Amino acid sequence: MVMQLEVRKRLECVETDPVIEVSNLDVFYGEKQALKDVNIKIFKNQITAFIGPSGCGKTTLLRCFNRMNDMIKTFRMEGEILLDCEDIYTSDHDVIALRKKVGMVFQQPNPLPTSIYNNLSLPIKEHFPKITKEDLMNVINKKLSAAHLLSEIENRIHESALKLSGGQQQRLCIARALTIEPEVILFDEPCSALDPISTMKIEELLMRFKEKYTIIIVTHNMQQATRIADKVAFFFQGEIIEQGTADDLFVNPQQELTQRYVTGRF
Amino acid sequence: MISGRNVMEKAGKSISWLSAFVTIAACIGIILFFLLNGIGEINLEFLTTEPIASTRADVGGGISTPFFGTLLLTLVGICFALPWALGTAIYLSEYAKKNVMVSFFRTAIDVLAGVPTIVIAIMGVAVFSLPQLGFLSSMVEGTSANKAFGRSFLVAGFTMAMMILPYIIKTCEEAIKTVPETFKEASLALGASKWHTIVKVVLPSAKNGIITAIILGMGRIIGDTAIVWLCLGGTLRMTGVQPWFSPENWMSTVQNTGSTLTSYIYFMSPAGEGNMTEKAMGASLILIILIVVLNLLTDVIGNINKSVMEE
Ligand SMILES: Nc1ncnc2c1ncn2[C@@H]1O[C@H](COP(=O)(O)OP(=O)(O)OP(=O)(O)O)[C@@H](O)[C@H]1O
Ligand SMILES: [Mg+2]
Repeated sequence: MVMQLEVRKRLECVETDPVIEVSNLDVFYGEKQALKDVNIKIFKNQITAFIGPSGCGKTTLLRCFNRMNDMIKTFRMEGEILLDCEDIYTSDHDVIALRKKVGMVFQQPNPLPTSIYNNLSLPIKEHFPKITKEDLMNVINKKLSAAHLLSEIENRIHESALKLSGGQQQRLCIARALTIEPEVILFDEPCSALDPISTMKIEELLMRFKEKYTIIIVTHNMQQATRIADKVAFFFQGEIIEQGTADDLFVNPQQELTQRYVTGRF
Repeated sequence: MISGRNVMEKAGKSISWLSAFVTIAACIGIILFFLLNGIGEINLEFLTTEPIASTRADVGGGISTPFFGTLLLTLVGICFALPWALGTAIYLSEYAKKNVMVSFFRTAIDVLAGVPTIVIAIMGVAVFSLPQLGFLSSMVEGTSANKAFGRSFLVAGFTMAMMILPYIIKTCEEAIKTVPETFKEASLALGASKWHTIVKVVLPSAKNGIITAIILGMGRIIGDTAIVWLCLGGTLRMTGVQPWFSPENWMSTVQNTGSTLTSYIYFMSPAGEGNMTEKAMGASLILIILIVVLNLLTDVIGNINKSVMEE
């Protein structure tokens, strides 16, 4: 009875509430505080952009969502992060399951030094150990085409991933992130190492992805945020100074700091 | 003043050039010496017949068993050492925290690297003479003492593993540490466990370093004499069930004694116990060729490594 109530409560919660809810989050690296009293809600099927000057804590918050900060010995946090209404920082939380739910694409494209095929088959096999060779190939093709890479590399799938261009490598990393069927995908400045055309291709991808996934992206590029973001949060020295819809933030910033930042007078 | 400095400059350059020259000359000299003295001995018969204990060179036979003994012992030694060293290297580079225990552990590894092989060999004989470990060699028969023989390819291979362990651990650890953090992050962020990441991502990326470690270890096993002498025994032939090379006898072969090129050289050379300089020279040449090939392999792997990175 109690169980059922719990489950129903969670289901209702998942229906209506944000995918991720951060409350009163403080993060420290040793003595140094990197995030101060952060509160933010991330909603389903939206693109949320984190903007702000270098060193203000955007990456830190992003990496809290899939607990990639766990690897840093000096890392310490207070506060609460809920994913689908579940606290992801309880000691018994399954970090591996969390990372399958929350995928990540890094700033520098980081394909493994092996073939394109292996880059994709590794996580798929880990995720679905019993998959047949045929199904594996189907999934790989599907994900490559979802990342708009398939047509460019169709005959080279068994060649080294390091032979691809930077933009292609990044799209391979996106395809790889898709293989684990995540709910949320974190992008940490995915275009900062890319040329304008590759950047455009990735922006197009993100716009299509939001039908299926929830997306959080860190970007230094105001135009990019304007073009693709539904919600924007402006960070400054570890705090979220202002957050809201992209229109609010870029057209009508309430805070002087935000205004100065989005107009490039910083 | 200025000319004084110039003289120093010139002298320094000359001395370092001379040192380098002497080193290279010595190396080439050794190879040439054995090439000239040993090449006459080498022919198919020398390579393929078993040695025969005799004081007459014409019936002394060849080096087939010492040659295969060297290969077999190297193989056994690496099979013992590799999993052991790799496990230790993974622990040290991926799991160990910085504390007193771990730094003590590292010191112990360094100390082991400095222990002379004859000391390790004595340890090996002492340990493997325990009757409980008799299955690795054979039991001493005909006496009332319950004692293992303590000499065999398995025993010598295990003792060799002890000897090369520190080097392989160090080289593997270096190789693992050079795997970029971004590779590990890529894997972990996909929800792979740490162990899975190590097996599927870290070790394959460190593959060339690990192979270099193996080759380094092989070189040391091939060149060692003290452990062969004490732990493999003082026979020229394979003492297991004959024919030693047939597949159904392999277990008996590794449980029994034999010789390697190094112990063969000792038995043949007048500097050791024999009177057949030519055969010793021939075997030395083969040994040197093995070592040269191993070193070339290391270079080839280094180049493969480079070209993979550039791909
Ligand atoms: N591993 C770490 N150890 C110690 N301090 C860190 C670590 N990582 C980040 N910091 C510090 O935390 C603060 C926030 O860093 P973070 O990487 O989150 O900034 P960012 O907003 O992503 O910056 P950028 O736009 O340059 O990527 C910085 O002052 C940084 O120096
Ligand atoms: Mg950052």
